[in-house]
Amino acid sequence: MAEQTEFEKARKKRNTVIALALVGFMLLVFLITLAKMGMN
Amino acid sequence: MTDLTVSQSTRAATAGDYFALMKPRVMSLVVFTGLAGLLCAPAQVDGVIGFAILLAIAAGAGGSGALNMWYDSDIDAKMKRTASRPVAAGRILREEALALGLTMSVLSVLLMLLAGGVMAALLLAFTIWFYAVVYTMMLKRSTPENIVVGGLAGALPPAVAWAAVTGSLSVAPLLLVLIIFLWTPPHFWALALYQRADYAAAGVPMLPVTHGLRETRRRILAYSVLLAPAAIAPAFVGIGGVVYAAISSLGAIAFVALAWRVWRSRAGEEGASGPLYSVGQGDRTARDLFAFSILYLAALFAALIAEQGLGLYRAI
Repeated sequence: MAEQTEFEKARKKRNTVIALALVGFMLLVFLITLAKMGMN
Repeated sequence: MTDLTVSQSTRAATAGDYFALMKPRVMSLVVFTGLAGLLCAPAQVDGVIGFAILLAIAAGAGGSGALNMWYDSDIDAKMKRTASRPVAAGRILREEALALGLTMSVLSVLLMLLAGGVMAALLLAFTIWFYAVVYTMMLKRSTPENIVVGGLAGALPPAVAWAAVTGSLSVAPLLLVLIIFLWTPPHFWALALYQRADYAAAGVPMLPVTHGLRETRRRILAYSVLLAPAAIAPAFVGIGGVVYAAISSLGAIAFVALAWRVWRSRAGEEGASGPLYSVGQGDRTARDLFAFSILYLAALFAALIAEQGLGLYRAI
């Protein structure tokens, strides 16, 4: 049971990091688009 | 049973394990050399775009590193130097490493396409494919020339960054590629001289294992002599200035001198024993060259970054 909780905690943490990374990636794509538009 | 295995393997994985899966030392090296390519390129680049280009290079290196650990987990587990890697040690599942490697590789190429254009994205995709497929899957276990040919993957980041900024390639970025390409064999063979038992145990046909120690020492010297003019050449194509010329020239003399010392020595003949990276008296010449090779490459690219990034460039 304790192992299962620890496993779920680790999975939740991993999912949060993946979600944050995806948000960061989207933000970066947005900023690159703005920069490219500024260059043009 | 499967669930229990998954639980046990995944439970021990930490954020540090996932970070280690991406080979952070290789990542920092390619970001460093990529930054030099970015700054030496004859065009201005927006800060956000420059950051994205370097991030794409880092992510590409991380992705291919994860793919390498996925494929090589069996031989990694047999070598002292790599046994503690997260997949080899069972802390991260092979499938997870494969998924992360593929995802990061694809995202890095897409990011490069957006920030640096088609040519840079294609070059980055080629670099990842070359490292993960050509080097890891085809060369590493089959030929002692594995690190000579495979070294191209680690050498390409300055050209990728240059292409991302300018949309083209020229002699200057190819010289930076050539430097890293020629630097790789003496660097890894110096290590392999005193760690050859590790490679032999894993069945990896490194040069000291297949061709013997004397031949390895001879080739270390040969590549070091070839490296010297290549390392100095950027000073004559307008990307390295006085500082670079001084560092590359003095460093080249020291590099060849250390390689000469290895050639004249009996490095590797004692046989490694004891803890990881322990070096016997006779192997110290190889250890010295290995350590200096890291310092030399770092100094070369740091000089380019300082001259081009901090405005210290003075043509010779």
